[in-house]
Amino acid sequence: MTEECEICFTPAPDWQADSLEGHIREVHVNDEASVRAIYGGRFGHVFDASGEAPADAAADDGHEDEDDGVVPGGTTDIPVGDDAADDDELYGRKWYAIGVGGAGNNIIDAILMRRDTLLRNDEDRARIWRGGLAGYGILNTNIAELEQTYYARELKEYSRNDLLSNAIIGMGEHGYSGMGYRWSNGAEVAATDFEDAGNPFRDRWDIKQQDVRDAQAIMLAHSVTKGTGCGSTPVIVDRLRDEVLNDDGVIGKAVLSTVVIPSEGGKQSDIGGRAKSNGVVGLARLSQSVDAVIPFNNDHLRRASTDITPRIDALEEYNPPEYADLNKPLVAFLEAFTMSSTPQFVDRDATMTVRGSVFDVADSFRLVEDKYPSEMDTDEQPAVVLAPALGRLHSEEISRSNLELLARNTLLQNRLADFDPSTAWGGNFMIYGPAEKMERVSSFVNDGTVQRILNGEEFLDSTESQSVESIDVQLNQIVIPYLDDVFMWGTLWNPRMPALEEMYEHTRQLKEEGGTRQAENLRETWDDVEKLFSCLGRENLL
Amino acid sequence: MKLRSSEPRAEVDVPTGAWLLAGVPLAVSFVQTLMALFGYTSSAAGIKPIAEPVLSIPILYEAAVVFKTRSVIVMGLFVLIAGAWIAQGLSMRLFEHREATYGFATLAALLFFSLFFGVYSPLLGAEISAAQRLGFFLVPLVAAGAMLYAATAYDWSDVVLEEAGADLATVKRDLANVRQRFESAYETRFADLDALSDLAPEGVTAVREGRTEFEAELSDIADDVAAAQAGTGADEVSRRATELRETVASLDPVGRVDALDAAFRERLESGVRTTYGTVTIRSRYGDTYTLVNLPTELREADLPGSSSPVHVDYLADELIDAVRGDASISALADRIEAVESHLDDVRAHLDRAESEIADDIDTAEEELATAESQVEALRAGYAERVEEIAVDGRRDGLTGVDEVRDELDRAKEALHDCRAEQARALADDARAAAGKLVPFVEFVSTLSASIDHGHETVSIPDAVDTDAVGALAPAIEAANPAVEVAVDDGELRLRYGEGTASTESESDASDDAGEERDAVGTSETTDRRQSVAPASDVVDEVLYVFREFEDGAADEPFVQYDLSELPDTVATRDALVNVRRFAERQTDLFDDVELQAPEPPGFVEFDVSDGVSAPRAIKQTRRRFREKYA
Repeated sequence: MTEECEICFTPAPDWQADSLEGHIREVHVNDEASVRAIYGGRFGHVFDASGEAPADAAADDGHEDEDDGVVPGGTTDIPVGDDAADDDELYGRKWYAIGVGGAGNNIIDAILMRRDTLLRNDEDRARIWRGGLAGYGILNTNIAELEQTYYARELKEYSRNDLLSNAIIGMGEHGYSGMGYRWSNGAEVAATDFEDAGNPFRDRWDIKQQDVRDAQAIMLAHSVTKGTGCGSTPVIVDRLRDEVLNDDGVIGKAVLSTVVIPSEGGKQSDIGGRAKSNGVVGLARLSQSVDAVIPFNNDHLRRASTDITPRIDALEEYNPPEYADLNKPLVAFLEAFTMSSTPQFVDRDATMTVRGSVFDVADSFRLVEDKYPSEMDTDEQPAVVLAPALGRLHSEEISRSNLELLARNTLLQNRLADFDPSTAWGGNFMIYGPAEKMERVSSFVNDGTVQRILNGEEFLDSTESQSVESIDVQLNQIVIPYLDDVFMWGTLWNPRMPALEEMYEHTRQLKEEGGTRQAENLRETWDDVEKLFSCLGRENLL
Repeated sequence: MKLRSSEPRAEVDVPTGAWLLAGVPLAVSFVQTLMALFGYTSSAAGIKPIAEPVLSIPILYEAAVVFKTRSVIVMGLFVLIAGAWIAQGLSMRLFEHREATYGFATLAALLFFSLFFGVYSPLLGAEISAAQRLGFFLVPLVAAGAMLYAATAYDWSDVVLEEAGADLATVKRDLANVRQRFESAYETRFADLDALSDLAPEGVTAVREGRTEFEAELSDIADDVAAAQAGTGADEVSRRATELRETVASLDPVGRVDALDAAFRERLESGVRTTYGTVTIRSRYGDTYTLVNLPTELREADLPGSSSPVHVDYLADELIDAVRGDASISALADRIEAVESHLDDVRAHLDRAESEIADDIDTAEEELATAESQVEALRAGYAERVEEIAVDGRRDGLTGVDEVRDELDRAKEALHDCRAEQARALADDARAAAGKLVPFVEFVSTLSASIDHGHETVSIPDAVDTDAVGALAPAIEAANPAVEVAVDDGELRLRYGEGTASTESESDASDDAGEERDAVGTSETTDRRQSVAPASDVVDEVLYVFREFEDGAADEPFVQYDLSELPDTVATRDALVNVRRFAERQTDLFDDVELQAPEPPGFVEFDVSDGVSAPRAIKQTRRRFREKYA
């Protein structure tokens, strides 16, 4: 595959120089802005005052790993953990990831262990997470859960006292044994950290304020079933915006939330109605704090876990056994999301031959915000729900019918949450796979075949809409040379979610008929619930 | 004889004195002879005052009489004795030639005896006192003794050292000659030794060590020669020179090379027998090729020195004959190189054949693994029928996983039989058959989701066998009673009867409950797969069951447990199926695990792997389950 300058689109044989760097030195040395825009910091040294490349930037095309300190084939000297994430000026940094509560801690652990697994095995994909994570931290009200994490035990080697100051929510205000199912307790406890001008971001927690500000977006991970994830997260996000991000610009920093919601008829709902009402309230409260919510459902993750199985070594040691397999497709989804706007993480030359466009984090939800009712105050509009899906095509042949199969696998079989794609306001899709297959996929993308498949009756059914607003389908493609199969990643905007609707009905009934304190709490937050649910489903698209 | 380089000794030592003493009779005889020669009498010579007292001694008078009568003989002998005596003196004092000195002394002594006991023998019977006669005849004895004493007692050490030095120089030359002969023989004999190092590494090492050893032996002798040359004790040096000369003479460099050669050939023969006794080439699949089926040009090798091509099965015999025969090491190396070259050709040929089908085999195996894992993951109600079609191959038009595996085995078998064409065809067929399975399984895997969403038509991908999909239709209908399924024009058409929700079907509702597929629901027991709780939900029950089994396990290869002996609270479908599932995954411990029924009454049977005891296997399984889930 011939290399090509992505600034002037001159193929390598036409360069005067022997390498891309030489070509940039010769032709684009006065175009620093363009070079930085296209290649990030990869050729920053060309514009240094000294003009000399730093020693660790000797890697050029095809040798990126050598500047990572990664020893090919070895396993003992490979930096993992914090050491591995501190030297990436070459790459853009996407997420600042924060796990709140037990589920959130597990998800962050799974992400970090995935990153370290890739690093240990010297896989090219390691750079996805190395560049994708601007930083990370975990927060919880349960000290025992914190102590069991990979983050605390392996990466930070924290003692209990360390965790109390660096990761506990509501220090000195409770017994550090969790909030149970009472979200109000979680909210109250989180609020105490900020009383009397307190700022645990600055004073205690591992979350580095500057790293948060430098990241493209903040990604929270938590559940909405139990008290900490459901109650504390919205408080923390609000304070994060106020204390760290100082969101007074025209466009604020994107904050997304990866949420594990209760399963309809699943184990969690067997616990009782509290989990259901927590799910509804938690999502509703969260939807007022974050820009986008990516809901995951354990039952759907379990189904996908038979097909989407990223390697994460020893995850079972740190994630509870019942969740270890479920978190793998979730991590795979986030990994694909991470590379969606950062093509420099993968083989650059291969990527660009497809000419696929990629998208920034904000692209995943800003377009949806534009579809909200004009009378809805911007401050009150709910977060966009990005229903996740990740499908895989095992077949060797790339044909229209097999791409239909891939779409079916993605949107029907491997939905990572319970949603109806035909009710979505649109969606953002990314197809990725090895070069030889993506060449053929690309022709179907470019002639609109894949777009038509996705818009078809079987999937988004875009013609079935009462709204004047169009059902937009954004389609992107990336070549990932080291994969065998073609994958389709997608987020569907504000679809109807049957499981959530069932929970909504249960909660509404409780709110309307209940005389309990729980019902009273629901009534206090019901406005937020209505705002969120009034935006789900195509019938709510004006 | 050479002249001493140093000055003759000036002093008169005892040996010289003895030599001079021996000259006294000669001086007397000299005077006597001169007088006789020139006809002088003692009066005429003016020595009468001296001669008369001498001649007054009877014995001397009688001797003079004899001399007078035999003057010619006496003068002749005198000249000879004098010559020998003078020669001894010169040899001893001037030339320091020991052998000449001894020779002349001995000659002079003999002549003395001839003179006295020959010419003067009449005096023995003369009527003279015995004392005078004894005194007269003691003269030759004393003179001979003096001369021999002089020769013997003379200080010969410098001479001996010089001679020993010459001997040692000779030894050194001989030693160098031995070394050269050894090296020459070694280089000639073992010219291509390195070429055989792979075949007979120990033999090559032994040869090299033998060479080193012999060279060390020569070096030791050279050191001894040098030490002897530096010695100062004439006798010791002479003795060492003699010993070293004998030592060097005993060395047999060619014989040594012969011995090394013989020992090496024994080891080489062993190496040939081991390496080529049975030529075995193993494929990447672990089996060996049947070389007898190779094409003729590869089955037989042309070897240098062989009149006809040699079959690969007889390469060792041919080489061993050469090793035992008179072929040189170099010739052997050439033959072995030819054998290796031929076998390289064979390997290259086989590798090509192997590579030609390896891609097909690898791809097919990957496809089969993918298809199997997808079937395994399928939770729809018609999963069992999918397994029958895709794995068991119970449907014409779609070759099942098992049959494709058999075909792959046949392809490998043909490969190992060196039937490359057939292997290629079989592998190609297997790949094609496997390639149809993945799209089929992938397609049917998504059907339940389409049904859940109430889709009425689902297009069938080109790569999917529509007949196989049609064969699945009854099973789909059985799993979804309110749905009619038909295959028409490359599409699967779904018609929904009354009461069918357009969302979750009955079959999938159970999936959403997070329940796993139950493989126990086989066709023998039930045609519907029944759900079973995940292992994490029945950890205590499963551990209890394993503990019960462990306590009652007999140390036999096949153990059986009566489920009715378990408490009702643990003898549940959820617990027992998970026991069976987890145990059968421990393939290092069990060959087979069978649960006759998921609930009592019935038995669970464990077929324990070879080399593992049943109690240990159960205990190990329990420990692994606890580590995974507890």
